[in-house]
Amino acid sequence: MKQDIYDRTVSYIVENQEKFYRLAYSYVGDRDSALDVVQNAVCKGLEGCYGLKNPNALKTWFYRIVVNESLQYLRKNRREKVSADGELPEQIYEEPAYEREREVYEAVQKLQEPMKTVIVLHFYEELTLKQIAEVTDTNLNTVKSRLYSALGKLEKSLKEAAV
Amino acid sequence: MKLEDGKKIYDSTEIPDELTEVVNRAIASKNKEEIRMNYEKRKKRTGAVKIFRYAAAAAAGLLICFTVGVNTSEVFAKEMSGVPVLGALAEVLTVRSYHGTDGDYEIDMEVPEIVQEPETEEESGSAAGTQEFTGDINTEIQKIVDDYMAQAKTEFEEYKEAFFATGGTEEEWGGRTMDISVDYDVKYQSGNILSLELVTAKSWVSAQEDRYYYNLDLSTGQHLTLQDVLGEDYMKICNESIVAQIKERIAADENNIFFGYGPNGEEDKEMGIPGFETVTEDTDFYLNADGNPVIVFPKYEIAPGYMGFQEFEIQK
Repeated sequence: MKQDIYDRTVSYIVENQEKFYRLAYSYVGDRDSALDVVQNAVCKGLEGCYGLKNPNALKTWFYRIVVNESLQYLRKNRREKVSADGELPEQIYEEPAYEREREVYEAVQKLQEPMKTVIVLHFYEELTLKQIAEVTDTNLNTVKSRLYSALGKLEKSLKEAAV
Repeated sequence: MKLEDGKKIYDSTEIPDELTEVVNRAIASKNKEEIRMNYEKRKKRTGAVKIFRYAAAAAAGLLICFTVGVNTSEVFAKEMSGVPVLGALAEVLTVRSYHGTDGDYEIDMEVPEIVQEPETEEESGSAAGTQEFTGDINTEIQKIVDDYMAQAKTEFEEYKEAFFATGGTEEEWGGRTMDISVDYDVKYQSGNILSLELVTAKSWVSAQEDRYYYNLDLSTGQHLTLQDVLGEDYMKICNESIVAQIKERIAADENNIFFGYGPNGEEDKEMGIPGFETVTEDTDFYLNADGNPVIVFPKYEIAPGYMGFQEFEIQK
């Protein structure tokens, strides 16, 4: 049987599932939620794959689904929490990390959207800025300006942490 | 500052063992053919498109279809019995027919009803009983259809609500609709034997189809069983034939997979999913044009979902 876009999507998903999980985890921050996000993304991806006009865009297209599912998950959960007790959940106080690595990672975690997506995709998933523009459905200049402002914010927060 | 430093932590995100299972399950829950069909259909939708348009043209002239609006009318059905019947004890008529858009739904509906010939005086004693029998079946069919419509609509509304509640926009929603179809097919009719299939289907992000079978002996007012058609040994006859046909299908195409069977048609208990074991008195079947019983297994019952419904004709 000839491999069509559906089969290609399936093999792409199977091969890269760990990446999707990591990416989802970097947004939602816990194991079960990340698994939920991956599951939803797989379903959405398969349902929509025939609408994908350019099969070469499979990678950026699927990252987009994972990012959107993650953000949707966060939105939904925030809403539930807000409606449950009327206010946003308290920030958990975390011991300042000693290792530089964890510090950087956490500074990224604390970034606001859409800056965080740019950083995660560029530095962790190693997507080019052009690919990120495709994932986030924006143009290259927007991605660049988000990247610079994200870098500025990170620098500031890491300096503060170092003091 | 080196952002790459954070990548180590990112890359060391622990991957839970369940991930593969979750992914595989999500993939298995989708049916390629259905998704492809839905996509094709969405692409060319211009008004109502029929998905399950079974040729309802069993025996020419046997079916007389009327469009009588969405409401059943007992009176109307009764009046219909004045229509000439072609040498059969009963006929199957469309009592409800609706094709069109209803809000979020594209509906194609042909609901059958079995109408018996007016009783002759000599027969009135026994015929009264069979009138009641077909009446019960008609009521059951109407109920299946009504419940189905209600359930499909609830499901779709819940889906729609969840879609917007999770941040979906009108634009992303894109005016999607649910297709609901109800149809029937007279599989066999001769003398006092009638075999009727009712098909309900809905499709939106995924498609689902249910089939109901009515095999009736109108002279006795009884449901026909496999035993009535094939005799005492019906289980053995069916089981041997089905196993042989499963093996033929596996041999014919490597993409044909049945639970419990390996790629060479050998039994494979290791697969973990029990496949076909035996027919029972409750196994679905209909009679085909030759009067042979055809055993029907719904999707997922004995084979993976993409294999669809599996039918096996059993030679009498």
